[in-house]
Amino acid sequence: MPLIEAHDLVKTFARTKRVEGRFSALRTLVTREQETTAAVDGVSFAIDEGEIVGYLGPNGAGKSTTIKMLTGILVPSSGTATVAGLVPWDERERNALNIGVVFGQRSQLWWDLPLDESFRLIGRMYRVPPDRYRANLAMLTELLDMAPFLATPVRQLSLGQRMRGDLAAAMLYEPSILFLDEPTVGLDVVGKERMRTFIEEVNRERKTTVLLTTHDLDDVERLCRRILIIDHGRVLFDGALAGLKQRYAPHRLLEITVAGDGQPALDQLLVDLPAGVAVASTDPLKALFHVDLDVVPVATAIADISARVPVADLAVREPETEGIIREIYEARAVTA
Amino acid sequence: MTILQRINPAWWELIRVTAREFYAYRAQIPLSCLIFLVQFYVLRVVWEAAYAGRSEVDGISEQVLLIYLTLSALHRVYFSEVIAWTIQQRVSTGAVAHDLVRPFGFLKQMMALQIGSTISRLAFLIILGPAAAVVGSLDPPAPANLGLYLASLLLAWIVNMLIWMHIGLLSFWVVHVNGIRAMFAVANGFLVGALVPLWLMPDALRIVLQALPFQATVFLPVSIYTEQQTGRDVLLPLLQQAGWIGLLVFTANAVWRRAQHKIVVQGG
Repeated sequence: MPLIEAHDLVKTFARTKRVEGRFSALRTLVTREQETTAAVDGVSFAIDEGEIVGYLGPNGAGKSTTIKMLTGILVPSSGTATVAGLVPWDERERNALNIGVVFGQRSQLWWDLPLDESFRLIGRMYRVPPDRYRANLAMLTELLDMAPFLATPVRQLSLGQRMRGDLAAAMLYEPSILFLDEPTVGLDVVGKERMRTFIEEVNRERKTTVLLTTHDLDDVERLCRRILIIDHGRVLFDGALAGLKQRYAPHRLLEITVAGDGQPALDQLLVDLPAGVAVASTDPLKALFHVDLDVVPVATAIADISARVPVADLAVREPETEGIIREIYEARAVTA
Repeated sequence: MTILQRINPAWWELIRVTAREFYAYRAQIPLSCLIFLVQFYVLRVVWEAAYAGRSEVDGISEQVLLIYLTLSALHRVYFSEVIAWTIQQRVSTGAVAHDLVRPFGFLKQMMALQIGSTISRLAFLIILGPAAAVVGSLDPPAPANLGLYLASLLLAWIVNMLIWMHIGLLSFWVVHVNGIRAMFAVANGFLVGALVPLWLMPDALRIVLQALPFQATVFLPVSIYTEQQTGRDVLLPLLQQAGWIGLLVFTANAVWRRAQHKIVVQGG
């Protein structure tokens, strides 16, 4: 049975409709007209124990709203979900014991207290036995390199330090599930790397299941075997990263450099291309081909081309994830 | 397992943390003490002038009235609106999202905060108590009334918290309750009977105020202290307070159940 299951989740928000024209502010105040927008519009998925799933989508796609329903913060307008067997918004306090939550944009730590005081409070609130608490804190302090600022008030921490503090706070009571909403936002290269290593580590060592939203595709390529893409509140893609490339970009880029006397042969090739091969760009003695895998296997295309031009160097490249995702977002923007 | 151990440790921790956070801003303490002293003094001067040598107005002696007003002012130091302010602040910044993923109910967290804030102010009493007696007017109550007064004080504290909890919960609907809160804070001084005791009010107004929960926070306990209630009647205020607590707990829960469907986390 999956650890996290969402079935047809819908969340609509109602907002008083703004009245245009004269005295608009006053008229907005008395109007009863409401507009409703669906932030999440029928999302279903299932996540098994031990998975790290990347939850992607442009700003306003409904990622955070989904996470807020699975953590029990928001009550959905319709649909159901279970997290470790509990309906999060019905059994909020029991669900809280099973999950760790990090919102990159805000902190759960107590602003005016030293970091270790916040940790102590969380340890007591989640009823972590004292010896477990000490062991976990030592492990997290080591792993996230927090020793230098454990006694510093949270308001004086840098963003990177605070974020590590937040991640530690979410792991102190060893939850079986981590919800991370943009855990690397605003971090520098070193900070991001530390965050990724940590997530990898807890997933491997403790089998912690992770659902992670991010705009940083390096996070995804590094951590997630599976991704969910959502936009306008609906799931567009659910599967492996490799599957995404196969489905949305079934092509390879083939870079050919010909030997010194090969220019005439190359020119000949460029005007009479094999089936499924298109030119992406050319340079003297060089050409970049776009090979459509639905038409021709890349090996066949290479054989065809090498038979006709004297190949000196050859490279096959996969399309980049970023480009594919950008295309998916843009395509949706047009059809919506 | 003792009863103390059975209580969720989150209570103690949150109370402790609130008190610690309060003392992080200890620089404000002397100033707030000064403000209260001025208030005690002004109350005395104004009412002494109003009495202008008369010994009684409407059957209330100047002495009793001054004790009443001084004690009322002291009450208001401890009957804070911090719970309303905090709920509104958590909702308007979206921090409420974190409160809702705790294994400890949101309203309990907010109550722990109110308790912590009251306890952290208890140290003030060492300065404010004697100062109020000197600058204002404060005689010890009859020993028989002290126990009753303390019981009534505790109930009054709870009623006060529940009233402000309701105001705070409004922020799930209107987000910025600051305006409502400020207006209510002004009206409250009057409604609870801290500015003018209910005895001195015209009948119509007094009947209305006695039907409302506000007077259960200041007027009722302070009247016990000043011995305006005697005999069998002394238990009536306590019953009235308990009744209000029951009703307000019920409505707070009902409002909170509806508020959960209204939650919008501000700022994404």
